[in-house]
Amino acid sequence: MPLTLRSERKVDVMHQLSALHLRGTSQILVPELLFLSPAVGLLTHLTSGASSSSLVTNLRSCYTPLTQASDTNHSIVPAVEIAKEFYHQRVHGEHRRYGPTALSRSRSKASYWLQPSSLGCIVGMALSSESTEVAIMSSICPKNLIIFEVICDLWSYYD
Amino acid sequence: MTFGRTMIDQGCLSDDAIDRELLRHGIECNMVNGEYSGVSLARYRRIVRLIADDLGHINGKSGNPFSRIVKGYSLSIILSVLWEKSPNKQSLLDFILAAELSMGRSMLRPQYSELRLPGSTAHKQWLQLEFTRDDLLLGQVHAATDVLLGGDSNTMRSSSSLDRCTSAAVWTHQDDVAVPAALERVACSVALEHLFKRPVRLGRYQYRGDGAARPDCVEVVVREVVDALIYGQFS
Repeated sequence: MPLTLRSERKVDVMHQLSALHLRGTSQILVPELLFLSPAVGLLTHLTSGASSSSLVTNLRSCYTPLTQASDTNHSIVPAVEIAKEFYHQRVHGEHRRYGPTALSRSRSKASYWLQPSSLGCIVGMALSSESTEVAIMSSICPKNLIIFEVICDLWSYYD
Repeated sequence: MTFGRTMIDQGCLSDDAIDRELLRHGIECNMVNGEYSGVSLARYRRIVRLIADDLGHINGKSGNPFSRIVKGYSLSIILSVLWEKSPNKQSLLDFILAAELSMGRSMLRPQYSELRLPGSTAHKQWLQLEFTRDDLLLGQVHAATDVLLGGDSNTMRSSSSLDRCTSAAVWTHQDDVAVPAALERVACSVALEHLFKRPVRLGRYQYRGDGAARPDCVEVVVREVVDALIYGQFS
């Protein structure tokens, strides 16, 4: 089946997606790939007004000296780079107050040009590599990931 | 639809293989769908490799307890971006179908294979599926939370121990259908709760960089009251 890339420029498309449309998006997935459910993304996203995702904000503010990567911090360096690639955070005033994180609108970034189907392509490619193959088959407990996402968000909400 | 190994096989994310996959989605060097982007393919390859690298740490060589639970923050971020960039439910399906094509593995359960056919009855029905307010009553959400947490959700909410979370979350065959449904319900419910803005965070500031930092309690209270009036929280 040929892939058709829809016209998905944000300025041209009316957004009609709400949390209510989440129904059926996880149930169609095979259990071992449930961690790719859009519901996980919604829990991470949860952007409303001036607020922003705690996970993204915290990752962006991580200081990760790449030259001194240890087993602990090296494991989050890729995620930090991904957060910086896709999200932007304004700095206000002379006292450097940080505003909420928002999706980057910089046209010079690759993330700007990625739409849902091309995002899926990129994720699929990343998951098709051998190291991730082993990871999927042996290590991932999707339920743990989902629960952690929920709990992380609830804790950050009441923090 | 049959899935074999894609050209990205043998565990090798070669530049050529990634470029070929990107071209299928209209992404070329400095061009996207015929529009000049000025972004080289190397930047897209970097994103792919960052995600693969992040997931490659899943087997967790370190003693970091989080490595046993969270598998790849990068995926969570990508899925979050998916929500911001998706204009409609069809886009979510586009993401899933593109991922399975690139991965060389079916992501859809066999009974939902018709979703790959746009315009089919199953496809149309799926697009129209959505929660109603009656599906998100408090009792139902609590029951869904119990399914996810594998026990008494009241105890889980009051506990701060991650060990309790990991021990409770056991994936069993019986959860095969219940867990995805519960996940959807909980995620939708949490998202709707957040429709109203989050509480304003208390900050501490100095005056013109001098003196001790003081909390802005009064400002926070005033802002919360004004926001509540604007958003009708008191009605």
